[in-house]
Amino acid sequence: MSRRARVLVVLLAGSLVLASAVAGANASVLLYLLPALALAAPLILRRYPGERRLLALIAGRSRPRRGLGARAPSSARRGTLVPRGGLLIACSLAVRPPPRPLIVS
Amino acid sequence: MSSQQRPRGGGLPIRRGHAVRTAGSLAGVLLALEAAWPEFASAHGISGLASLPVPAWLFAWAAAIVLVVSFVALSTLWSSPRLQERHVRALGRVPAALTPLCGLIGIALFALVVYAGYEGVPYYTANFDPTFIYVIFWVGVPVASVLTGDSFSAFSPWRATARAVRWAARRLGVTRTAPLGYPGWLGRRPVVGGLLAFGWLELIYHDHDNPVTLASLALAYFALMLAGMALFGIEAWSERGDAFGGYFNLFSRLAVFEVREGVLYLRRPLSAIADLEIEPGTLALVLTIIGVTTFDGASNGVVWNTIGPHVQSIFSALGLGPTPADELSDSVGLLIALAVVSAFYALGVRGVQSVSRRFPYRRLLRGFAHTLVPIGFAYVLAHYFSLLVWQGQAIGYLASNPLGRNANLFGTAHWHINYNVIDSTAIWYVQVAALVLGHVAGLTLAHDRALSVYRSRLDAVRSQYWMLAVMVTFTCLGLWLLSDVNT
Repeated sequence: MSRRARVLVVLLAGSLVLASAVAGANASVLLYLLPALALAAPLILRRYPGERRLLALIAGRSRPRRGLGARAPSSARRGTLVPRGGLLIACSLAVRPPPRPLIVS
Repeated sequence: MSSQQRPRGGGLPIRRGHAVRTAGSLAGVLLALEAAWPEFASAHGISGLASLPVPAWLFAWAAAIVLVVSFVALSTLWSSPRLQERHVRALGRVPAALTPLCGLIGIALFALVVYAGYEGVPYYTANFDPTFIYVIFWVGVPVASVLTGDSFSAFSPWRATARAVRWAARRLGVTRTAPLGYPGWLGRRPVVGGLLAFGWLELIYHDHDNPVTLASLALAYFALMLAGMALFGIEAWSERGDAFGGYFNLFSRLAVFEVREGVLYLRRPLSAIADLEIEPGTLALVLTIIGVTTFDGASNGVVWNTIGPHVQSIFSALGLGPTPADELSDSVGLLIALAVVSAFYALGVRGVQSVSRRFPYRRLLRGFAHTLVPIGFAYVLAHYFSLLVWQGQAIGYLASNPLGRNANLFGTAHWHINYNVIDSTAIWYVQVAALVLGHVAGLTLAHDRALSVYRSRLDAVRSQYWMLAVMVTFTCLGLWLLSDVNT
């Protein structure tokens, strides 16, 4: 936010206080506007409270879905890769087992 | 954790401790103010709302918490744009005879307004016109539009008349196209001008309840609309040049129903608002709706009733009589309300722009303008709900006796207004609910638009911090105005 805009914000807040002061000390407006002021103050200072946690929440929601999606097919395919018959004997006798075959989906 | 961290995406370093301290200091100062002047908390007692379990200002805090929770929920659960495309489902055909029938009803009601204005008694409580125009037409039709869709376009007397003339001309073999194309630069500006004029008439003009004045203005408006439609075409003028048609059409976009080419469709909620074409005057239109309603609230409250006489004395000192001085001071108040509302939105968008310099300020101003539409409706509903519920009942006996001359056409002339139909506490809850729901809808629209505008999720989230601040400000302002009126 530019310096001019910050000055505008301060002027606006000041005018609100002034208006309520002129209005016979009916400053209840401050109590009503407190949440807005509390939210705007850090933003004007370019602070975004809770942003890091929010981004972590977003990432946390998207990551497991991807993980599950990747795991599910691999576990299904792993069943087809269990060595049987001659391959089982070869694998058990070999010092180094043969490379796993590529999966073509 | 260190006190200074750099966010992902290469943003500015965040000093969390400083931000928390700033917010805490602000809250501390304000609470100290409250402690210094305890009347802050007690002087705003709301008449008729004494049964509220907590002070009224706590509702503003609770509303702000609801908005913050909505913001977090939207950020985490709403991960891709869902409102930027139209999703409609056809429900069935609308009977062809329905539109002419609605038009006929609209013309009949208009004729009644004109007749009652000139022939009825000149008392606003006994004449049909003031209640019908200021309550049923001005407040009831927007509510009906949000519930049923753009029903006013079917009932619009000037549009129905123009369509009837066109139909008759075609039957006689006369076909004629509009001589002029609607100028693009004009956009929705005529709607803005019309709404400002009507708002001024209702809230500021001293003789606004005079039935003769209302009937004359209605006739003048009718003639103006017919001239506009003759020059620019019926549909083009109805959507852009007709102040009331444009106003009701804007709110009808909040409805889940729409009629196109004789077919009734069900559409995804809020999708028609996201689809709103931001023409010249569109932003001014939504700001005018909120600004006029804001002034209506403020003019009945403590603040303007304290400041207004000072402004009026300035005009009186210039040699103006009491009535023009009063009207001029209220006009200044209306302009101040418009300026305050516009400044809140402009500052919020300035903040949005500070997140990423990719988008020019004006583009963002227009890009998020549609988010103010549900807020505009929330303001209208919250401020006029009691008027609609209480004064709206008067139409029951005025329909039987529209001229106020002891007629009893439908046997309902003996009806009266039942003020016990809803108590003021329930009205307060409805007002709070309307404001909160309207602002949550605005936040949803802003979030959806941000997802489609920003490539970086960080930028989208940060931009929505600013829109959250705008929504919380409008919510708190609206609740304060309502409580101030009731003080």
